[in-house]
Amino acid sequence: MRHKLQKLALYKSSIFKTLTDKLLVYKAKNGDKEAFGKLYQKYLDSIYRYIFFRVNQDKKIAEDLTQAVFYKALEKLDSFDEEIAGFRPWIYKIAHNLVIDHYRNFRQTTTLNETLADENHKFEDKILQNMQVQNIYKVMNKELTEEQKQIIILKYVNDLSNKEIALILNKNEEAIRSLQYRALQNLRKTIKKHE
Amino acid sequence: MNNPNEYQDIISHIKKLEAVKPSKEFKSRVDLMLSKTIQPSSRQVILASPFRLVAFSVLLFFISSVGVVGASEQSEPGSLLYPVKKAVREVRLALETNPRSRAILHMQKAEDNLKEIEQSVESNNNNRLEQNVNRYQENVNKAFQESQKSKQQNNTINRMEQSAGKQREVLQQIENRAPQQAQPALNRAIEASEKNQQEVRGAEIIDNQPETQNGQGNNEAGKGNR
Repeated sequence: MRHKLQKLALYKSSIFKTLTDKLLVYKAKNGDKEAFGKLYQKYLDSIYRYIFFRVNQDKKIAEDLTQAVFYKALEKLDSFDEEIAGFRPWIYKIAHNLVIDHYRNFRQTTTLNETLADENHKFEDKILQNMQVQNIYKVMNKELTEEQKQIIILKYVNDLSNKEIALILNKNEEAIRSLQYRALQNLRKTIKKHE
Repeated sequence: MNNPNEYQDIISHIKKLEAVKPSKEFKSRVDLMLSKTIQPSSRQVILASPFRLVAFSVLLFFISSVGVVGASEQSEPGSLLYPVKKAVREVRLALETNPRSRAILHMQKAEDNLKEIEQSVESNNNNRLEQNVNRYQENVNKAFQESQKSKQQNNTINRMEQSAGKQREVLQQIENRAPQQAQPALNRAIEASEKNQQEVRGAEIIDNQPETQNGQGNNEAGKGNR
């Protein structure tokens, strides 16, 4: 019962968020630039967080890419079609593509493994100094594929729905569910082993 | 997933990662850069029209439930309920798709405009008079255009002709007591009313001709007189 109520509350809040976004996007498209400012304030933290974990907690790169996401969104807002996807999956898709572009450019000079920041730098962020969180995060980095890690971050850290994640990663919802399940199974197994 | 609670402990640890946020320095840097790009626009959109319509409908539903709408029907310009009456007409027009009903609603709006014209003549407000005459002309034209689309054209035209006749009488009465400076605007309103009446009559003649020749009459003329 409690679980159902929680689900209902989440559903209601997601409808509210979607409606607010629709209104802000409509206003921004009609020349109200302050409305875009509100969208930026709403999504800045979560977009930064998503990029931060995708670029191995490199603050500098995360900041540069986050900034680029909002410039690109502002530039492309007129071509954004709400019928295809909501604003949230759309802006995450921009972030996703910019990270891919970043690695594509970076790989010309170095390999992906070499880009992994050293452990001390990784846990420089205050929240990651919590041992339990640190352990989970280490396990996530070690045991999960890049795709699984991404899904876990989008789903449980940034609260996106499977449908939205499917749109961002160009996959169907069933594939997202299955990757998510396997990722959680892997985490459980590894944690049990260490206990 | 079989049981979402099965992984709740792991999920709750993962959720702690949401405390990761960009630094204040970065935020203020981006704020500044974006605020230079995003200059507040002079063109402000108050509300999207679908949203405005929904909000309006909710308001209408609320006030109709306490009988305000019914009471507002008899209200005159300047009274407290008159804006409610006008709002109700706008909502009805926005929701109405039947051309006959739309034509009647535009004629009702024109009648309201007449009262407003009368009031602006009495208060000697020439600017207001000009605005009201423009609105009157606009509504009379729209009523005629809608009546042309109506399937029950004869029926609609009869009703419009009656209404246009009454409106002309009212306009002539206003003209008789209006000051000199109000005459040109009132003449425009009378012309609009006369033109409407002539067009309505013309449409009636054209509409009746083939049917009279065929001896069929207009089947719809007597139907559905709402």
